[in-house]
Amino acid sequence: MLLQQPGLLALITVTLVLLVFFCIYPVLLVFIKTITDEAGNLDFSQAKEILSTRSFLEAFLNSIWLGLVVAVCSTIIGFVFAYAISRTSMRFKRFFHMVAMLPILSPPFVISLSVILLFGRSGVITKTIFGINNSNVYGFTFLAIVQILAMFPLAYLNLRGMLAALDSSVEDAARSLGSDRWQVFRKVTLPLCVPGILSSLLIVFAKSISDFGNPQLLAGDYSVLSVQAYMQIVGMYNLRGGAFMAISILLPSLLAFVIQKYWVAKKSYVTVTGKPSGDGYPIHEKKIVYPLFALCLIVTLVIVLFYGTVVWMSFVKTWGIDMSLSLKNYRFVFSRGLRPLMDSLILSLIATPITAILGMIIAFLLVRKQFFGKRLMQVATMIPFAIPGIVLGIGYILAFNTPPVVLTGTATIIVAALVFRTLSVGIESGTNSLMQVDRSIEEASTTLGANSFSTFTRISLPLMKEALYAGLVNAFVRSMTSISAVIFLVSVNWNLLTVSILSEIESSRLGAASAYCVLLMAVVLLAFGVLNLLMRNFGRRAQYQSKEGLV
Amino acid sequence: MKLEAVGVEIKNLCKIFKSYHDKNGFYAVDHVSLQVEPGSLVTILGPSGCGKTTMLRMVAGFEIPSSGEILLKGREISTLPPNKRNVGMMFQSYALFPHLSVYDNIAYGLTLKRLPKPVIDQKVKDVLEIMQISTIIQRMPNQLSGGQQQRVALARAVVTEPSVLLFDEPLSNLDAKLREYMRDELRKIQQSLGITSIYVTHDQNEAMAISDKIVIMQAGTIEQMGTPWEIYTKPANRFVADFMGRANFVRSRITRIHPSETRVSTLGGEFTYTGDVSMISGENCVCMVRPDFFTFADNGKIEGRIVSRAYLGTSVEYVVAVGNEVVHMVDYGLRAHGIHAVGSIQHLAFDEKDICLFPAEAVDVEKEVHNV
Repeated sequence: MLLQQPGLLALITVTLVLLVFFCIYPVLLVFIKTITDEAGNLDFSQAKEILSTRSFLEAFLNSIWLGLVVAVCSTIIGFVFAYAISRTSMRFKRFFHMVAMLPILSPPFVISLSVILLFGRSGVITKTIFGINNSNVYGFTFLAIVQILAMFPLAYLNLRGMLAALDSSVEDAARSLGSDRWQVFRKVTLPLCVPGILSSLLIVFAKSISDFGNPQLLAGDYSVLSVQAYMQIVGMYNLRGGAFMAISILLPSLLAFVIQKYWVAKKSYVTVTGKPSGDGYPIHEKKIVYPLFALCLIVTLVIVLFYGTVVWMSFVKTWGIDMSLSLKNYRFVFSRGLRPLMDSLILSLIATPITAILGMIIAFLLVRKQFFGKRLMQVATMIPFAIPGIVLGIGYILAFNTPPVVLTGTATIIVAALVFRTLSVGIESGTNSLMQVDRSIEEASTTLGANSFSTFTRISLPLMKEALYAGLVNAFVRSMTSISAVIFLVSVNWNLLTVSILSEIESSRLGAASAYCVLLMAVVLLAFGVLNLLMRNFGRRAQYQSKEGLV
Repeated sequence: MKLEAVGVEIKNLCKIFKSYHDKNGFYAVDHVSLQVEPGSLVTILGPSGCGKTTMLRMVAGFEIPSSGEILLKGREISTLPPNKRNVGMMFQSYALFPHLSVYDNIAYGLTLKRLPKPVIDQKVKDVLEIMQISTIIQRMPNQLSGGQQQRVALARAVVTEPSVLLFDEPLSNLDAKLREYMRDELRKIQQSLGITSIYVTHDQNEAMAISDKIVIMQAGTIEQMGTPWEIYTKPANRFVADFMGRANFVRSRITRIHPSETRVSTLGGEFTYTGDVSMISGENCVCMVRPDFFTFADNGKIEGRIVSRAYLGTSVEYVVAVGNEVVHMVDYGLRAHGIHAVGSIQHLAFDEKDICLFPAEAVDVEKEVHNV
């Protein structure tokens, strides 16, 4: 059948080639690199050497411990947020939700920067308020706090989706059978949420151990694998050692991802009946709502404080010494040139539509077409998303530094990294929305004479409109804020804002870093708002059209 | 609007699906041949899983036959992609494009042909008039009633002037009353356009009402082909007889075989059977009599006792015990002789030309042994 549609066959072939080339090949090279020497012979000496050092073992255990602590705490906070927002009559829900989105919409290390500003050597809280001279923010405690604040929104979103999908009439049934609120929670709600809780734990764990930006700034003596890998490569020019360390993060995080995706997700109790269930009566008892409200408020205020600090910092003359407001930092940033911001913007604006459209195309192929290599396509798109960004980055250097394809230093390699790292999220939302479209709608288009291309552009794509917008937003935000995957790929020709912010912080130009952060967040929020507005407008126009027809 | 009528011929068509149980695969359609005369409507009728939808999807091009040929106007099309076949299709779910208005839905196929805008406008207007839905041209699909959606789907399918129109259980989503109305509408429009049509359904009433010819399928093969009259009154086998409506299957015995007639003993009487018989004298067989074939007659050869009855207004349904057998009958003559009492003894008759004989099956023999 495919042979009759050369266009479709070509599309599948090109997509598969791209995916193999940009998703599988680089990661495979990282593996190969760690177990072969320069001449390409099998050689485990590097692995042996690193495994025998105490520092590797220490970093490995540190990473795992950090991951566990962050996963547990983030999931607890995430659950409180999700439960309070979806099941109670608490006030300010929208506000809590929006604040919880901040860490997702901003580069991962903004909170780290803020911690340094507040609790560091010349921190406002430590030095100015408490007069402590030698406060040390570097180490496990603050790193864990920062990661928890940055990552609990993931757990929150995951659990909220799950709670929203659980039919609340089950809880009502338990109530009518005579349980009190606590019994309902303990015997019904919590057990039903176990899959969601497990998957949140695994997602946050994987995210924590592969995080690079925060440990790079805050870990200090508490060495973790991602930073060690980076040091090996940048500091000691030992690509093989770095690759090996990166692989050792990859295995536990990949394991967590696979368990989450293929085991926990299948255990879910969420059922789609297609029958709308009412929201039920939200919990309104004061003794339940108030403590939850207090918890949400504290977490939210801490986040606001941290983000506010960065904004404040960007407008202050000299932090800790002369706190008067000025535009000095912005003048500095603008005079140094907005190259990094423009580069980030340009590359993200190139990557975003590619990611979104490619995501929809692949979703279409996966859901609607039968072809050889489908499974390969599925796995390939998942790899760059599931592995730590630093592994992908190393893979790209290994793959595209030497002929046949030399891409290092070009915009292409950065765009490719951004596209393929984000692709799987777009595919997922495209797949979900396409599954809800009756297959015969597309078949109807075909019998009327449309080929696969016309059917896709005129029927399937418009029906996936919402998923497409979600994909666009997601791709843009992730492109603008990503760091670990691209840190090895930037060059004099193409720098990225996130990478320059990191180096500003490392060279203690915190004012400039803050100003850059504020600009970056402003751009992301602006784009977010504009896309949201566009989407709503399109929705309204469709509705308007249909109303007109009624007259 | 009158379309060119084109014949469809299906030769030895097979569709094999992979199966875990059988390494040879599962035959969804098993060497099927049939012919659709130009301009006629042929219904493929059968229980679910009999292969009727697979057949239709192969004609549409959504499934590729494992072997065999599909000829449209004498041209082999079985490997052409669906969009190159010029085949119209009505789907069970209508499959209207939810983001396009009625006009855009109908114009869709025409715009793909890159016709000039005025031509498209005219064609859409014409087809809407035939369907009597000109007033809803600007509406979106979710603002239409079930019957209107049906008409839009039909309009969209015929406006591109396809060679053949395929119907995949298009009425199953409508409520009973509308279903009957739309059934007659579909038939009327099909006949006025003169378009060759293949219609798939599992509803035998629907099939009887609209078809020029019915094809009965079971387990991937054709059991019988014929006009609705032939299929109802002269079913080729017990499956068809049972599927096409209510039937009594009465144990009988062949008593005498002549070149011109066969004598059969059943329900305590002896009757003449004029059809072909492959059985021998003395053999057990099954005699099929539909409930409406029985009449009350004082000189009837069959004597039975009324066991129960149900009055349905235009008719009365009786359960009658005749010897060891229990038969159902429907009586439309109640205006003449009223309703018979339960427990009363009555004489029944039927026209000997109406009965059908089938070979006895293992079940019947077993039953007999049991009764003895």
